[in-house]
Amino acid sequence: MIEIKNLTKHYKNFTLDDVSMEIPSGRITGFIGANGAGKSTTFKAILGLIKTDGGEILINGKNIKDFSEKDKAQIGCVMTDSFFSDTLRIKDIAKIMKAMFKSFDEEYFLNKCEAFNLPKDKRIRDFSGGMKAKIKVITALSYDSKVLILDEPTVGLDVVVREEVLDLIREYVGNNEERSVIISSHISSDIEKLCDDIYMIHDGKIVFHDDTDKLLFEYAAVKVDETEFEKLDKKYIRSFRKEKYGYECLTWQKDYYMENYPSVVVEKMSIDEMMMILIKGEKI
Amino acid sequence: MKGMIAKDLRILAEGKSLAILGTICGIVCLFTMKDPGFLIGYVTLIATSMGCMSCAYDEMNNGMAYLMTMPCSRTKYVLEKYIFAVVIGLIGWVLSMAVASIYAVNSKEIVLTEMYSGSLVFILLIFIIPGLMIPVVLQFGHARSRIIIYVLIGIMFAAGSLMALTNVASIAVSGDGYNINVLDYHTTIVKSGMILGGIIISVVIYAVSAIASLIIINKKEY
Repeated sequence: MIEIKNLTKHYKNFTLDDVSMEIPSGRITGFIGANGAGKSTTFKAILGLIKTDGGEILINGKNIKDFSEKDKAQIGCVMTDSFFSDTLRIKDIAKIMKAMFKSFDEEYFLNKCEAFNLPKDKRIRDFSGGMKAKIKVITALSYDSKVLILDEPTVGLDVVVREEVLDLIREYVGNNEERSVIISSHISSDIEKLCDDIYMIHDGKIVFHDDTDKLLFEYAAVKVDETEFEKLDKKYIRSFRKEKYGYECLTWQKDYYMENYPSVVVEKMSIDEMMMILIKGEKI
Repeated sequence: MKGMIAKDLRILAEGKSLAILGTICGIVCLFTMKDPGFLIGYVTLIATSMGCMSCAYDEMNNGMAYLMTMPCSRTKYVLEKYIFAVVIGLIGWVLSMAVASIYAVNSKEIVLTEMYSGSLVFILLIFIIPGLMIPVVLQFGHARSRIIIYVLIGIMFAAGSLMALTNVASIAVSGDGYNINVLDYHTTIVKSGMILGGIIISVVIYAVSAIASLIIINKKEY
C-alpha cells in the first residue's frame, strides 16, 4: 500500500501542491493529467529520486526516507525516459537483475522476452521505441515487488501489444493480492480497462479521484441551454464549461438528472472529455 | 552493490576492443622504445580510465534515475565506483608489470629493482584518475563532464610543463631509448621519498574526491 500525505515540492516554475493519495494493496490505480501536471514529479517522489519540501510518503506503513536496500527491492518501476545503459543487451540485463534482486525470476524474464520477440543479443540502443517499452515492463515484472510504479508503460506500443502488456500487469497483481500498482498513461482506454480507481492531477494539485466503475457508469455530461442552466439544481454538478449551445456540466449522479430533468441531454463521457471539463471548466 | 558490480563488469566488457588495442600498442611500444615504464604507465592509464567508464555510461540517457531506484544506496553506489576503478587500474598495473618483467628478464639490460621502484609512480594514476573523473561526471553529467575533464587534463599538462621548465621535474631522452623520468631525482632516498609522497598525495586526493562525490550524489535529484 502506498500512502502519500500532503506531498509538496517547489520548483522555480512549478509546485506540487499538497498532494494526498492512497493506493491500497490488490488494486491498480490510474494517474492521469496533462503534460507537466505533476505525474512524473509524484512518481519521482515515491521512488525517492527527489527531495520533497513537505508531506510524507509511506509504503506498507514505512516512510520512504527510512528505506533500506531490502525495502527498495520491494519496488518495481517503469520510467518513460530512463533505463539501463543502452549499450547493454537483454542477456546482460538478465545477469545484472539476478545480481541486483534475490527474487528475480530469470526464466520468466527470458521467456517473456522471447514471447514478445525481443532479441537477447541485440543492444538496447538498436531496439525500436516499442521494444524498449516492452523490455522496461518485462524487467519491472520479473521480480517479486510489492509496489509497482509505472510511468507511461504502454507508450509507443501498438494496440495488440498494448493489450498483452496490460494483461501482464493484471496477471502480476492477480498473482499476489498484496501488490499495489500505480500507472500513468495518456491512453485513456488503457486506464479505463486496467484501473480500479483513477486520480487526476492538474497544475500540481489532485483535482479528481473516484472508482473507475463509478466514473464509467455514474458520471456523465449534462448538456443544457442557458435557461435550463439557470434552473438546474447544481448540487451534483462538479464543474461546467460554456459551449455554443449553452453549458456542458459534469455530474457524478447522472440518474438524478435523467429522472428529474427528462428534457435535458445526459450523455456518457470518456475520460479524456472528463479531463477537459475538469481542467478547462469552472467549478461550482 | 553486487548488482552494480555485475552492471559495471558488463559495461567494462563493452570496452574490450579498446583494451586489446591498447595492450597491443603498449607491447609494440615496449619492443620499439625498449622502455617497460611506458608499457606500465600506458596500460595502467587505459585500465583505470576504463574502470571509470561505467560512471559516464550510467549518466547517459538519464540512466541514473533508473539506477537510483535499484536496491543499492547512493553511498554504496559511489563507493563501488571508486573501488571498481582502483581494482581495474591495479589489475592493469599488475598485468603490465608481469609483461614488463618478462621483457626485462629476457633483455638483461634493465635492472628489475629499478623498474619495480619506478613503476610505483604509476600507482598515482590509479588514484588520481577516478579522483578527478567520478565527482565531475556525477556533478555535471556525461556531456558537460567531458569538457571539464579536458580542461583539467590541460591544467595538469600546463602544471607539468611549468615544473619541467623550472627543473622541478623533467622528461629525459637518452641515446639508447626514451627514459621517462617523471621527477628529476638524484638519490634513491629522494626518489623513493618523492614516489611515496606522490602516492600519499594521490590517495588523499582520492579520499577527498570520494567524500565530495558522496556529498554530490546525496544532494542530487534525478
